[in-house]
Amino acid sequence: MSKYRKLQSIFIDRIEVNQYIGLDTSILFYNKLRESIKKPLKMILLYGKPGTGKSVLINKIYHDTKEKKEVFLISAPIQNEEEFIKKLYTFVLPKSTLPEDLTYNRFIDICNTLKDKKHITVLLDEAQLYPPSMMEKIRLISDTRVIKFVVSLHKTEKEDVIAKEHFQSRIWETIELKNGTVHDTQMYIQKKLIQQNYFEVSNMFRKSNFRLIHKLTKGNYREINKLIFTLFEIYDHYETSKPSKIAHLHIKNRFIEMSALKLGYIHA
Amino acid sequence: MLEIEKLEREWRRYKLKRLSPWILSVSTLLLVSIAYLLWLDTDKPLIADKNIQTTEKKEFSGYDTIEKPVTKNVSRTPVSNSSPSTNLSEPLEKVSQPSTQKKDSAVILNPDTEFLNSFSDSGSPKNRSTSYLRKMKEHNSETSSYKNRQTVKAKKEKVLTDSSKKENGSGTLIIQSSKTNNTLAYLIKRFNEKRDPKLASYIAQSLYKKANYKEAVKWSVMANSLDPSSEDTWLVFARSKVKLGQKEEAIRALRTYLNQYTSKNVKSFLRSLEQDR
Ligand SMILES: Nc1ncnc2c1ncn2[C@@H]1O[C@H](COP(=O)(O)OP(=O)(O)O)[C@@H](O)[C@H]1O
Ligand SMILES: [Mg+2]
Repeated sequence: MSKYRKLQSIFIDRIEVNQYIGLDTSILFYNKLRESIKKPLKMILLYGKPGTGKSVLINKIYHDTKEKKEVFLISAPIQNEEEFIKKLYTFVLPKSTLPEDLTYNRFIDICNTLKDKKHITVLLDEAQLYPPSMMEKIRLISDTRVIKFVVSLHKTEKEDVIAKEHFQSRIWETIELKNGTVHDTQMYIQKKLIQQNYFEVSNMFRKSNFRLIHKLTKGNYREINKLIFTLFEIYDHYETSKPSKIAHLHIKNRFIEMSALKLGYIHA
Repeated sequence: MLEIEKLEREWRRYKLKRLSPWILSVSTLLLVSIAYLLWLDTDKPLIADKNIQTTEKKEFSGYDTIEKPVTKNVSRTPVSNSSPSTNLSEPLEKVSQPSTQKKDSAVILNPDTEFLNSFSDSGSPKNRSTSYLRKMKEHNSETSSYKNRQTVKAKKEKVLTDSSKKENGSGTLIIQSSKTNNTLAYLIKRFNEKRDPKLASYIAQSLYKKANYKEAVKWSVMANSLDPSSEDTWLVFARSKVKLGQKEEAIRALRTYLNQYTSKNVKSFLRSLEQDR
């Protein structure tokens, strides 16, 4: 695989815990979330626009705490209620066999018997995909204080309403993730490259590049991934067809703009 | 598959689109400033000039033929260190005044244009070399179209004096290099009529500015023959000679001048020439 192909693969959108990057803002949220988990809260709401790193953060937390604490992760929502309850049961009582007729009501009863004896944390990613009826049941389960839920969801106006109406009384802590600053953008790109030992490529980026990238992506990490992926796609193309075009010490803003054009961030 | 050529085209279009408001505003600004400069300059007579440019050229070449005797006549004066001819001794009576009078116009290559106002009354016939005047008259009668042109000239005259007044108000005269040819032709024509030494001196300086040093020498000599006391004409003469690689001649001329007049400008210029000899 060519150099630029490899570089492209670094910026493919995926969640790998070992590729977590401690950015100023994400470290802040990470510590806050870990503190929140320690507290006797029923629910924690983690919200923010798509691509702000909620899934990455929730996975990192899961990865870092699962050894010491009883923390569980449901990264893709289980739409079927029965399946969902079954899953929660295995988290609470992993050693006992599943009851044949496990319903929501039955599960609440079990939780009430475990009160003050059992405390687990369940991380729910992409919670905006759960139907409101399910969310209501999750809320009631959290009332037993056997399961603490960390709910991660996209912040849209509609979901803001959910956050207010369904969780207001129960969510004791809310954490909002935001797009990165120019500095975050720089740290993100450079650390990602350095992680894979591409020191020289990391040095090819300059402040003006980061400013432009931030302007084009608004500091959204998913958009940054897409833009840098496309940038290296262009570099890869030139490397095979016109190597002189990319024979520079630094990344040219022109190629970043071309990437943005291809992605439709800007228009000719 | 990446369609790189398409993307490159798109990028160029994008860049152009982003730059076009800039280009537009910069170019309009440029146009406005050019228009303003044109307005400041003696624009009206220049437009009129264009129509009679060809006839003026004839006269310009005519000047060449007249020039020769005068050049011979006066070039002896500053260059040959010999006794200052009658030309120079005559105005000696008004000694030292010229240098003090000229203090304002000390910047040689940026002459004031005040003299344009006093065209009608200046240029005393006393200073004219008689032989030259005769030749001049002959020449004027020779050129058939002269009378016809006179009317055009009269019109232009008015405009120029008007605009020159304006210039005096703002303090400086800006000569657009693209226009000087026409302006110069006009000034030469004026000189042929008025025989004003200041005008000749001004023409010499204009020619010097335009790096036409040979012509600048001719005209400074002409001006000098009419008014030997003017330091400006001596300086243009010397500067032009330096540019033509005849430094020694320039030094000799300036020394001649300083023998009879006092001038800081001439002194300092002479010193600078003598220093890097
Ligand atoms: N702290 C981080 N470390 C490493 N990658 C990150 C980080 N934050 C965001 N990303 C990148 O941004 C992409 C989008 O983040 P993600 O967590 O999926 O956003 P969200 O869940 O808020 O929509 C991820 O695939 C990852 O590549
Ligand atoms: Mg996510």
